[in-house]
Amino acid sequence: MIVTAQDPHQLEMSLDAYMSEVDLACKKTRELLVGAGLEGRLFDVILVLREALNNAIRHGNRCTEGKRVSCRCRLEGNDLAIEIEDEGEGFDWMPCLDRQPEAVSECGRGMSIMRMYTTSMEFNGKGNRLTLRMRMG
Amino acid sequence: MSEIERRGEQVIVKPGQDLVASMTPEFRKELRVLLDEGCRDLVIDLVDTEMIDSVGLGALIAAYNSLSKKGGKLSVINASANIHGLFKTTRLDKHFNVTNA
Repeated sequence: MIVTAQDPHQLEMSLDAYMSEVDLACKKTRELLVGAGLEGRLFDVILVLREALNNAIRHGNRCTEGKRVSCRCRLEGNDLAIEIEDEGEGFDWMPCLDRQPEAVSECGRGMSIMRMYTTSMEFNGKGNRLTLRMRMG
Repeated sequence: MSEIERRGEQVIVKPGQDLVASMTPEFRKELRVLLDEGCRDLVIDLVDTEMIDSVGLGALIAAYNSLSKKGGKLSVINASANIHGLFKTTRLDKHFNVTNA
């Protein structure tokens, strides 16, 4: 994981194709939030970030070596905006937005968790860039 | 590697770390071994676990599904308030017993 830009209100990172990269990105994001005195929703932010990055690496880039995921976390007043972009082919995200996983299905919960913990969730048309917003105050 | 304690029929598993995508493959294997040994009463102790993501939840659900088929049960103890909230939000608390730290 490489930090490509950082200031007290913003963090930009580039992640390689390994799930351990998610742990490093979450650690840096935690530092950003703690530094800004925003520990209140730390668990929620890190959970949402993990789900988005897991999906981008695993489903977007299919864990392909050399393909990267970019991640930008930006504090905007009371909001946190998280933008995640992968180098994959995208997907048909529209039917997935409101899909509920089966009660005891082992997978398919990431999207619904993101929806439940954020105030908004938007994909670009192709489906390889996701923007999440969370109210921090 | 999880700490595993046996109390009669009950097996208590303490991962001692976050149950997230990077950590979960090993945890899944540990649970699989216990289930293959015939464990029917599995307790997951989350005392030192601060975070669970959907991959970690998937590992718990896989164990729950295996146990259910054999008439067994899965419980989660010492969940932090945030993790308990996640179980409630995802309605998984309807399927296995979750108690707070």
